[in-house]
Amino acid sequence: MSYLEDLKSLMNISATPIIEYRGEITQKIILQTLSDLEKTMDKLGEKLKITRKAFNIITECLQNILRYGEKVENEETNPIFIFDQQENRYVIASGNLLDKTRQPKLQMRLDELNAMDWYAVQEAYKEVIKYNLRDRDKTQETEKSRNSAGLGFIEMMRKSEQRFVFSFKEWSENTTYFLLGIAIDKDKDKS
Amino acid sequence: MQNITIPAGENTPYVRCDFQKGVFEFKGASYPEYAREFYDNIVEKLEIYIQNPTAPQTHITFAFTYFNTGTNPPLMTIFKALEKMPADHPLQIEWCYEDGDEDIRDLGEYFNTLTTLPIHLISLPIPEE
Repeated sequence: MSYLEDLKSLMNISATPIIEYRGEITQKIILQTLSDLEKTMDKLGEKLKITRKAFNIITECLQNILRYGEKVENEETNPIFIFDQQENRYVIASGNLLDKTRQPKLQMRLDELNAMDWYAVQEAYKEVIKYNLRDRDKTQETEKSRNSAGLGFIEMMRKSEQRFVFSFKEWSENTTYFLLGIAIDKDKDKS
Repeated sequence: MQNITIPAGENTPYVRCDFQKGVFEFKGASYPEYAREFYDNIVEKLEIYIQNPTAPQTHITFAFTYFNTGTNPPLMTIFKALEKMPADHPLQIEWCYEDGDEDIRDLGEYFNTLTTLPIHLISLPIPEE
């Protein structure tokens, strides 16, 4: 089974998702995806609030791949991205190759977040902001730390208000394929 | 110092820094992949201004409709810098959010409680689509 099929199975993706993409993730692709998303949600008559949540999660998800994804080794290990509409929810799912040494920390982080309730997620978000408001030592900053506040996954969870579904599939001695999915409940924001 | 005016881009906000009038505005969506590349020059000049404000008073407006977490670090740097503004310099900071946008509002509240700055939260009506 391909990683795309694995991801579809992990998140119960429908036969015809709104967006299904496999290939290189670039800033241009991200902007195109977000533009397509806005047009689709507009056609669906979806609330601006839900569209913004989806927009936000997709941005964080794809920029994470752009920032942390490993160089692709072949067609099968290309990044994948799916946006799907299901009965009561929208699903955002992605897959990308990852340096295996990153797996334990990432797994721990996602497990930690999944164990949190809504209040704890908000507090975690606030704590990171507090930490980042300290005086930063510019000489110690890396390109990644300069452009990331360590908030990506917390932000995705805040917007989603649901838990992450994820899986790691060993690809090679040094790399693993990381599958991630999260949903936005359609009904939560009906007013 | 030369004023800065940057029109809104595909994923970057409208920015206006008028160092003579002391008026600064950040408006719209901000989700560039490398936010620092966009903000570094602005932050650098703002830091110089803050050390010795050339205008009699300073008014800063943040009116984001959306921003990615990558925008957080430069934004935090701006707030940290603003805390160093001379105590006797009149400073007004407005954090605007669209009505019902709890995430942007909450972030303004966090900045308000986590810094010593007087940040005024202002709710704006959602523009007609």
